[in-house]
Amino acid sequence: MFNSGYKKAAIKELNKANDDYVKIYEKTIKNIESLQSMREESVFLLKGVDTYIYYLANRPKNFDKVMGVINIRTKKFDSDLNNLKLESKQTEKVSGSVAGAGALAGAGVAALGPSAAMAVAMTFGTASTGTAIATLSGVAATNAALAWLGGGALAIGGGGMAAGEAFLAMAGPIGWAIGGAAILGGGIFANSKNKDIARKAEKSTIAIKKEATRISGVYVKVEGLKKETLDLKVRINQLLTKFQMLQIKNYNQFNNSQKNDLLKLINLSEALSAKIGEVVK
Amino acid sequence: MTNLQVYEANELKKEEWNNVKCDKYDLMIACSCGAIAGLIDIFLVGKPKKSKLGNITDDAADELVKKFAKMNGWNPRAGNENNVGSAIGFLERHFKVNYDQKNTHDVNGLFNMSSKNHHYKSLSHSPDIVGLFFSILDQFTNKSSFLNDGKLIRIDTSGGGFKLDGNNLYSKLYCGFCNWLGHIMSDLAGSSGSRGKGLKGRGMGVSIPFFEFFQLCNFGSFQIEKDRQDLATLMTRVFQEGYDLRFLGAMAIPVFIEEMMIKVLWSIRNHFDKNKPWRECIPSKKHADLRLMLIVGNTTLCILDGVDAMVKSKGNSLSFILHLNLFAWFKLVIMVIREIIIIYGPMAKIILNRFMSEIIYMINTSEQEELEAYYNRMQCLNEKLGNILKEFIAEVEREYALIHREIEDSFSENKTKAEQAAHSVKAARLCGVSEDKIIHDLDELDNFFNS
Repeated sequence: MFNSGYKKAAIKELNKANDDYVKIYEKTIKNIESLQSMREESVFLLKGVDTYIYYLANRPKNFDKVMGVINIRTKKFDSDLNNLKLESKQTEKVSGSVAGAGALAGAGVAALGPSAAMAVAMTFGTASTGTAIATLSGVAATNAALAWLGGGALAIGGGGMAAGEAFLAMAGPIGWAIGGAAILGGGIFANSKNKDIARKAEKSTIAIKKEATRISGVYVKVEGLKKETLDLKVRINQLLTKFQMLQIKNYNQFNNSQKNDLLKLINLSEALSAKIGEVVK
Repeated sequence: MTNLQVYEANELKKEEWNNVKCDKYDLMIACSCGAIAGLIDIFLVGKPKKSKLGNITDDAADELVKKFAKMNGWNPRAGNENNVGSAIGFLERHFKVNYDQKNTHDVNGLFNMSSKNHHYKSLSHSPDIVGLFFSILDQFTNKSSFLNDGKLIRIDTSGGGFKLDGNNLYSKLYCGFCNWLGHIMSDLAGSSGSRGKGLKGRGMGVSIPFFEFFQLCNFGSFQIEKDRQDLATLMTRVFQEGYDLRFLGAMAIPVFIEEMMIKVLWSIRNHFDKNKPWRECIPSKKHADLRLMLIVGNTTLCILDGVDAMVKSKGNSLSFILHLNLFAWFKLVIMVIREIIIIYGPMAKIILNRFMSEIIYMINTSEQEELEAYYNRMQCLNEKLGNILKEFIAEVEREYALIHREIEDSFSENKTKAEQAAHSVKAARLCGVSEDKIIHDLDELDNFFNS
């Protein structure tokens, strides 16, 4: 009555959308952390490939130019990571938390620790954890949608009804008339208020659902990157171990079959390096 | 007598009163009184503007307005003492309010309204607790509240130069109350424009208390001459035909007469016929037989009134309601409900509450429609976003499947070493490695190491 059904349905849906949003957000953060850890292992592996090729006799003169791309990327990865660590430490000293990590506190999202924040920043290729988290969570969109959620949206309306019901408890037509009037009077007022709240809730639900879908997209993309990284990492590791066991130090001693494997090792290392540098947009 | 004895005697009396039943003479008295009241209703109340008793209540309202104006300092010029238009004009000037918009133009075309129904559409003009509430609210917030098409509309009136008198909250509340009452009195018998000297119309009064809620009932389809309209529109037209607070006074007269006759006859019969002392013959709600007689009397009145309204309306809903004595019907409903509660106790209250909830739920069809539309919108949004995500997942999986196949082929035992190498080239390409960084064959590898 008086649009309270619409209001209740809209707020229920908003709360559900918010819960779903928080779930997918946290799931995505975990996935990003897992990708980051995989990438750190990959960087370590690529450094091994780099070292192996560097120490092969007949090292190409343009090695630094060609093979160095892997090197440059791994170096950039390390440098970005170090910068972010430095930024996190500085911000933590100032505010006690990582910048932007608590930006969605209103939505019920737990504040991120430094490592998670850095993982997010690396995945998005930003130089600041705050910017990265804002990018992931769509703070600008969701904050506006959630700002009023905790602040009394549920408490608005219904006062007139309660008062009216109390009057209705009075026996006799006068009690009923006054009670009915109070219910309807309060109700008419609540009617437009409820509709207003319901519309705001609906607007917020739309914004949050869109954000949740976008974050789901990030989750899917990260999952894809993880699988690709893992495939490459496993195969490169397999090849590198094989070469290291051969203990051949001179390229000219390789037969054609081994050369083909070396070609694979270089190409797949380049592929892995490219995947490490890939950022989520 | 001890206290206990007095208590027991009272309880016995109560039980006796509660269990007493009407005999055929009681019922005959009730029916006769109801019939007399019914005839009064048919011949003297009739419908607004053509009602003999209505003329009396209209005159009484005029007198009341003049007296109220005099109490507030109305000092008419010689010859104007009986001019109600002058008294109304005085009250209009002295009890100015910010919510007195009279037509569509005054509300910036937000909804249709005319001087004939603005007292009805404006919530603050209602002579009841809802009217008082909205009047105070409107005066404090400088807004004007209307009900139209089942919706509450509030318009800003801050540019109108109205200022609520008073220095603090209490004085402002008092002034707000006085303005509401004074303004209602100025509208009770029409406006100064419609009741001026020489004018014969009765003007548009104020609505019957709680009548404004009919405007929330924008449902149903009722025949009005050649049109079909919803209940809200029908009741607006009923008001426009003069079914206002003054006419309520006329409608109350037969009900009052019927009730008085039954009560008097019941007292006389109890005293003389049943030999009860006068103190036990004072009519009150405690006496079950009297309550039943009143219900029977009122039912008779309502039956006659209903039949008369049906015959005279000839299928026209507007005419039917204009002839209907809603006061009598409302009173009958209240009495029946009260009796059911007395007989069946708390269970009746629960059933009644459920019934009311169902009625209210049924009334609120627009909300159901709104809710359905909301669920449809949410479903569409979910489908749209779900499809976007599905497409994206398919794209990512397709990309991964391609890379995965090339990586696996690079190590497939079913392929030659040269073929495996070629697949690593494809894998690198798919991962976004530029061509100049890819080693395509063994010649390039040899060149790479031996350059």
